[in-house]
Amino acid sequence: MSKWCFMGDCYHYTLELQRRDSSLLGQVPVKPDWEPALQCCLFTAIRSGRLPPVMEMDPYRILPVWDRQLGRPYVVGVRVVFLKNGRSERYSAEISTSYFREQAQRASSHYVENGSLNPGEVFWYRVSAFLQRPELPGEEAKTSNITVREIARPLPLGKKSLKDLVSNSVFFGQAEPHEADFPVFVPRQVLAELVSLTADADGANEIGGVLIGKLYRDTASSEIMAEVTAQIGAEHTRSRIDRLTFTAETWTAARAAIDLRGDDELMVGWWHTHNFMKETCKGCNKSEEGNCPSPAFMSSHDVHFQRTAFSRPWNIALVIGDCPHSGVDYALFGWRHGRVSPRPFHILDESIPPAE
Amino acid sequence: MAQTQTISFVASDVSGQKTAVIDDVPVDATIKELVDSVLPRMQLPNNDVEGRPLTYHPLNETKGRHLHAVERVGDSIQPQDHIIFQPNIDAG
Repeated sequence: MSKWCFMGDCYHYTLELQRRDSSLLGQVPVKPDWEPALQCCLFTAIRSGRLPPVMEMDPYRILPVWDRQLGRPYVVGVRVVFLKNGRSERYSAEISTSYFREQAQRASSHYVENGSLNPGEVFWYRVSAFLQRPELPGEEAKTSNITVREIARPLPLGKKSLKDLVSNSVFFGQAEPHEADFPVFVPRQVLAELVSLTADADGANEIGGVLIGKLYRDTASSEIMAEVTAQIGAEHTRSRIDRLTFTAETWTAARAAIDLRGDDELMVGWWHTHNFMKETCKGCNKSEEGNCPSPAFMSSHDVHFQRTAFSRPWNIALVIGDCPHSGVDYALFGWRHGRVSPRPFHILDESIPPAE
Repeated sequence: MAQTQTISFVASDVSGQKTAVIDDVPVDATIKELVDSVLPRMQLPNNDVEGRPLTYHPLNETKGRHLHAVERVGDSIQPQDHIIFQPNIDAG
């Protein structure tokens, strides 16, 4: 470890993009946004009972895990070491190079544009890490002395029996279950309401809203789960066929609705529609051929929306797609190792009261 | 050297699930300067997916109004006010 680097991420990273035949496309410097991955590491430790249920980010170090075959500077991932009292290891977790996949995809678009890579052509990427010197201080800004101290609050956890909730539910989703996914329950009537809103939406413009609910800890284990209680339709939005803008007024109205309900519900996530197929699929017969893609996906804008407004590891996103041929389809997405991934969930037929 | 007057207040992200105490904010800073400085320190994105600056409209929840970019901190925020950083964000 260098003498100037004791905390945080002291490395800079480069993606090396290759064609399938191993010929080099190029190298691209990237700056990873570690925040979602760090939060997921913390949440995993809380779910397993290794840490108390407080989203308190300890000081940490990010260290490269060097590729044993290729050697430095290539890495197979990074190791996050959270420190106790700034010194001894409190816990640690590894993040694989798949965390760089979206950045690699974005980087590949340059090679598609200049003709080095064909659209849709498979490519590989490798990640290299290099120790970086600290940046020299820039011009003193008026606000440079501002300090920000995150308030570490205990998670607002009620208690419920996971087993009882599961027995009142139907497991749903095309995505494979994953150990990193915590249980999420969405009431059947909320889904029915969203499907109805989507089907009844005027035209092909997108609509959306906020999912509200509560977090619970299982009475029989340390597992944490989320239960959606209702949806709040987004007001004051700007909408078109391929965009939905949540404005500052949208958030204010949603917050006011939550306050009005008076049940201390959280914004656990959001939902929105992809109704563009109502327009783009008119007269198309792909669905009859069985190769009609589902409109229930997360676009790059949607992933960024999730990062901006719903970056906590328990935050979810429901996408509802409407296709004139295949009908209404939906899928749930959530944070998995710091990346937004499709995930299964439980459709809840009847909730249960919280345990005492 | 003249000392700049500063204030402290509490700020949250839009979902209300990330809250922080913001200290040492110069009262003569503009709201835009405040937002630009605080967002990265709260690990909140300040650009959209295409790299363009995101527009945040801070809500002073204590006073019940949105703050404008050109307002001065000292004119619009009192110590211990609760500010919520509300972005205009696009889903696609």
